Parts: sequence; C-alpha cells; structure tokens
Amino acid sequence: MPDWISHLLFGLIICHLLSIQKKSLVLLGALLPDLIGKLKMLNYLFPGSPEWIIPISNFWHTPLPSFISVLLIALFFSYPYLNSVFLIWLGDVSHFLSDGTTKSFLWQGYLPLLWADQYYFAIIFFAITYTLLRIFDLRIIRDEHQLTPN
Amino acid sequence: MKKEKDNQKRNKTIILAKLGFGIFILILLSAMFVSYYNSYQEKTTLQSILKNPEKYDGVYYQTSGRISRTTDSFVYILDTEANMEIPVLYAGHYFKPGNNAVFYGQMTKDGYMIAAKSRLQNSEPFKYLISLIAGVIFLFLFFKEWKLSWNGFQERERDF
Repeated sequence: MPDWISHLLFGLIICHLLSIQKKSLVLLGALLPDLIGKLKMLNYLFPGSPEWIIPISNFWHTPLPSFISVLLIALFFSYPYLNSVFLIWLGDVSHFLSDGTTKSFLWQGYLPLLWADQYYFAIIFFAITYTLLRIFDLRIIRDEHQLTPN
Repeated sequence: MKKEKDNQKRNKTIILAKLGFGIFILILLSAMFVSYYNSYQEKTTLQSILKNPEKYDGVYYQTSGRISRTTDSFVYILDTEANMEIPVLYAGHYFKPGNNAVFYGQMTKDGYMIAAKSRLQNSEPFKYLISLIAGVIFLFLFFKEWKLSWNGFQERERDF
C-alpha cells in the first residue's frame, strides 16, 4: 500500500489530466478506502481493541463496499449528486489502482512493482509526473466544463 | 411568496429523498458487512491460527510488524494488524529487536512459523507519519473548496 502523499498526488494527476475543477472530491475518494480501512491500526496503538475492527477495516478496503460508501458520502455535498459520485469514485478507483502495485509474499497486485516499505519511490514518481504535467500543461480533457456542471 | 413556499417544499422533498436513499445505502452496507463477517470467521487469520494451531499445521501465512525480541533460533514478531506476538523459527541473525519486518512461512501445530521468506521493512513506520501529514494537507485543500453547513458541504467561491 502506498502512503497517503502518493494517493493524493495520483489524485491530483487525474484531476490535472481531466481538467477537474473540484479536486478535493477526487482527493477525498483517493483516501476514502484507507479512512476506515486503517482502523485496524488502532489495534497497534490500543492493545485489546475489539476483534471486529479487522474485518470491518478489510471490508471497507474493498472496491464494492467502497463504491457504495461513495454513494452515501456524496449525499452530504450540496453539489450535483451524480457529479459528486463520479468525482469521489474516480479518486476511489485511483486508490485501488495504486494499491495494486504493492508487492507481497502472500499475493501479487495487478502490477507488483513496490514493497510496502518502498513508498518513497511512488512519492518521487508521482511528484515528478505531476510537476511535468503542470509545466508542460499536458491534459487529456482541456475543457473544464466537460466534467463539471454549468 | 408562492415561489418561496414552492422552494421550501422542494427542499424538503430533496432532504427526504436523500434521507431515504441514505438509509437504504446504510442497510445495504450493513447487510453486506454481515455477510462478509460470516465468511471472515472461516478465513485463516492470525487469531484463528493461534487459537487452534493444530488445525492450521502446514498452512502458509504472512505476518508483518515490529520484532519484539530474538533468541538463537526464534524471532518474535508483533503482528501490526492483529497486535499479537507470533514466534518465527528463523536461522540467522539478520533481524534485531525493534526492526520492522515481514515473514512468510509455514505454520506448525505448536503455534510457531517456519520462515520461508523474509524482508526487513524498517522505513514502514515512517510511512504512517508521512500519511498523517498528507491527511492534514488533504483537510486544508478540502476546506479550501468546501464549507460545512446544516445543508452539508457547501461550495466555496475560490478554487485551488
């Protein structure tokens, strides 16, 4: 699993490439699976935490429950509902894509590149990519209004 | 006046529709979690292994966390997720107490693991610190675009 800086940078890269105005919704989605998914770390800080913390964390950190929670969270924004869902979900997908690059002895991601402790390579890669995209203003979609309401 | 009443009625309908939909999603999520939790009970976890090691004799498992102590033949690792100590039979003196590591190996009926693969992960705890900083950055960026009100998050005028 990459760190949150990498997740944020990947989210920002997507926002830049697609000229998304409401970046924070994408960034929210980019961190969303970890917000509850890392509750299990409480076990480490507070020994003797209830046993259900691990399954609830693992449950949240899977694509389908995470998407359903996006449907719920989007309701809290005074913004066109489908746009909120789409933008948060986009970040959510980016989270799972970057997590899939993690190597492990037990399982392999779709593109096993880095061990969990090699997160700094991901930070460097995403930071350089984001900087270059901004400097050269490289985008897939140029018109901001294609992904945001008028 | 009539327009204002219509607007109020419309807003009430929207709030009720959102509430109904929100409750529906919560029920759906809860049902999914119950189903997941039931299947989780049958999964191989560190808790289930250490409760009944004989049942899991020969099963391969991965554990990661901080090494609490070492002996000539064993490394005791405090599994980060489960917060449980697991003894790992490891021939070597590469790991020291305080190190962070990941071990993959075969469980035995006596409740210890025979290490097949291992890796030192000392920079792992720093990742959580960095992630905390990222969390603060996110909150800053988020509240630059949104403000919290009784109607949920409202857009701010300025964008970053």
